[in-house]
Amino acid sequence: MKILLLEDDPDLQTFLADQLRQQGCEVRGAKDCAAADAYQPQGFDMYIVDRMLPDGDGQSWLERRRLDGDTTPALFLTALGSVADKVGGLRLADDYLVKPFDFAELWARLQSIVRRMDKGPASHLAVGNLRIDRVSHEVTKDGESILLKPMEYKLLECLLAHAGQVVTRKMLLEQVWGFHFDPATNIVETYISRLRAKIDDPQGASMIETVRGEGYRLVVPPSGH
Amino acid sequence: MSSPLQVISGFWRRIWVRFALLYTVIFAASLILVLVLTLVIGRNYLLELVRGQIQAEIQFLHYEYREDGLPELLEETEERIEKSVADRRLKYVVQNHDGETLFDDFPAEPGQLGWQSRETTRDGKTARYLFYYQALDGDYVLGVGSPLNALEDFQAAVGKAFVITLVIAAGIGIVSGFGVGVWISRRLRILVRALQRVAAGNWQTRVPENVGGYEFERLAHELNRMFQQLEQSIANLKYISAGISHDLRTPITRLRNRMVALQSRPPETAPLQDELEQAQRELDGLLSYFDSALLINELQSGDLARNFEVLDFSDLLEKMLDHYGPLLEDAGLVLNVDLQKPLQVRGMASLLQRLIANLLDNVLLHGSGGAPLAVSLVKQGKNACLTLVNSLKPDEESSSGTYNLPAGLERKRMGQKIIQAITAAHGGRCEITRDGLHHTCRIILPLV
Repeated sequence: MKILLLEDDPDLQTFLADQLRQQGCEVRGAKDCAAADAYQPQGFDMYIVDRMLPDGDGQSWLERRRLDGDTTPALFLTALGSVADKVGGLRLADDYLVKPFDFAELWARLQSIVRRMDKGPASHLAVGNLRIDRVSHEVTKDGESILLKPMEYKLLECLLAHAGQVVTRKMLLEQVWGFHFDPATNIVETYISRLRAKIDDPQGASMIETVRGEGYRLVVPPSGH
Repeated sequence: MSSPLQVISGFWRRIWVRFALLYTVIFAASLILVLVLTLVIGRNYLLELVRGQIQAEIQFLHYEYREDGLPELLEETEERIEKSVADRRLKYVVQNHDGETLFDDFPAEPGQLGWQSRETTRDGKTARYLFYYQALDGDYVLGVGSPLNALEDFQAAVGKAFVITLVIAAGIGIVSGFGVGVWISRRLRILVRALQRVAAGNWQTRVPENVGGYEFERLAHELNRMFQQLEQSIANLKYISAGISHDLRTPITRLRNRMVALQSRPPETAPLQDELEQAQRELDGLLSYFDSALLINELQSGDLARNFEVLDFSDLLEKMLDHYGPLLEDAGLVLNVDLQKPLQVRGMASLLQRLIANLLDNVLLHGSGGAPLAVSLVKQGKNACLTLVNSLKPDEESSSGTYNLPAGLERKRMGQKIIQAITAAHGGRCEITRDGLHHTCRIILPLV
């Protein structure tokens, strides 16, 4: 994936570029709108755009690109986290992530955008012997049906869609419950616990791994298992 | 030292001076209009009366002439002159076909037929007459005229009345304009004084709302609303400043101490995982606090209202109760729900979600397990009324910790501030009452 990273903070730009390159991405950095304009729009698979740049707002830059017919997927990565900022940003970009952030979450969101762009949601998702049918909402494990409540199903679907990756608590709150805030109670933990009770083998290790300080990961068993 | 020009300019800018002049001009203009109308209408009316009188006389004498001839006409005319009142009597002229005057009650003058205006001078006074000349059979001409002094008297009387009335009206205009100006400027002075007090930082200032006059009372009411909003915003600003100085400094200090402790720890000791996780939680708490403070600020600025749309509040509540079902169940809370559907409000779903989540989080954190939680959403007049009634944990009875959300920070009642700010941004209000362990929260939102 070829990414244009529009970020004025040199330390953060270096950190992000390194992390993205480690994931196999080709990254071009730009410290302001003028530098970003120097790149041809057709050459990228993704834009990561900061808002407050030395020579203007990243949102205005993206707006200009959109008016020029550039449909490259974009994600705003910014310190501007008010509701109005997010609403305005999501009118132009495909996702909006507020600083500070976990790189794992940024990477998961980028992949989610790419999946949406590439092929849309698959009709089936499966990891190991666990499988969900996204049309009938049927969940099976080893061919046996598991009865999940609607929110439990959505949670499992989200984890399966990011199987093998860390999904942060914040991402789960947004994608499963539609919460753009962090409730003071342990709603995520409660649902994860209930989901584990339904999909895990009583004797075996949990399919949903807790990644301390980050979130949860649906464990992908080694192939052939 | 003010120059005379400045003094005059200042005097002219006074509202009572302007009102006095304005009223005088309006009264004078109205009077002139009335005068012109009276003169035109009155003059025409009187002229018509005179013409009618002359024509009736002509018709009568013409009839006499046709019936009995010229001698009878002359005799009849003599009789009518004698019967008339001296000043107002009609004047008669009869001429033959050679233009010679046969009868002359008025200085005869050869003239044309029809209506004619004539003048005569007697004892140095000029009198105007209106004559009508009618041709008779045998080439005689009969003229009948009427004096126009009534018309002139009328015009003179109206003019005199106008001057007197103008003087009186100008006086009334000045006095009433001055009165109205003083009445208004007195009320404006009250408002100005209040604004000066507010500008000086006295945010509790309110304008008396019984100043008199619907518009002024409405203005005072709206100003008071604005002052209340300002006072609340300033209070919130102080609250957030105080919060930052206390709630951010304390955890940052704690975080720093933790870092120092980690730095001084021998490298061979236990892994740092727990310490780092604790530090991360502290940082998340700080971010959460910042987010809440910014959200309150954003809500109070009114910026979010642009993104409001019509949505079903009961549907939203039902979904949130469904989301929280397992948590309430685990906490042993017995949920009793009474939902009236649909109840449409204008707002932002994510904010109302947060409002409901905050209320339910509060119940989970401070509510007594095993006790009932009654949630009702009903229509009350033009509002949707959401009520949550629950029992607090016994140790919460004397605590002020209710609505101490978002949890994790020391500062009290941030959650309540968010609830109030979200409710206010939606044009509603929040009522929280507490009676021992019995806790009721009522959210009232206007329906669409």
